[in-house]
Amino acid sequence: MAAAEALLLVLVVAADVAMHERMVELGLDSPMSDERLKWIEEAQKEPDRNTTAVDIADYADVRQLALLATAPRSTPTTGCGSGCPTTSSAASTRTTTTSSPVRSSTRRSPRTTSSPGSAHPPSAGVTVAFLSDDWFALGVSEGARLEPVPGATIRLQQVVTGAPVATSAT
Amino acid sequence: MTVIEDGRTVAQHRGQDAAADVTITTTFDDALAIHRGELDINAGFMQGR
Repeated sequence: MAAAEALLLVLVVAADVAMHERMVELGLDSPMSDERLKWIEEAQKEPDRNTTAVDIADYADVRQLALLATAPRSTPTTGCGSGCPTTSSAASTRTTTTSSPVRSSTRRSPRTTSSPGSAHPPSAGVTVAFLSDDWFALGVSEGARLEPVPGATIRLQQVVTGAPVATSAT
Repeated sequence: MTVIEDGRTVAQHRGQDAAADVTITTTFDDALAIHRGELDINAGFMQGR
């Protein structure tokens, strides 16, 4: 396993555990699946399975900022969105195994095209095609009207796989 | 790619961004569900989608 993949794996597991523990602590329903919880529980019972330990404290805020920055647009009415509890720094350093079922680091398929968005974005309330030029333009015009969240600054690359059209990434 | 400054979107368009801080990979179906509000992005992340 490459160092970057190992770091990503630890980041994901640590974030999962910290978020789950914090939501339970606050009396909220954790969205983590039973299968995922069981895997983590079993891994923690068998310390010999742990092959990698990485201190991620310096990087823990990156995930929180990403979720904070995108939550108002992606979860307008449901979920914890920007109200998600902050990841506990005490839980930000974890150990994990190299046999995680996490798939995110291996599914990347950077099939992209490049074109600028529309110069005249459509108005809010109209229907635009997902990932179309108008959709990107609307995202900017509406996103600029969001309540400011000081510090939530990030450059985000979203790779969409399996799109039914050639324009598949943002 | 999307550029967000202090919680507000200032740029968004197709193409790769070599300077991206974070890369999120999703299937088309999941991406659509997220933007329709049918899939919580936090729940999707924690479930390994």
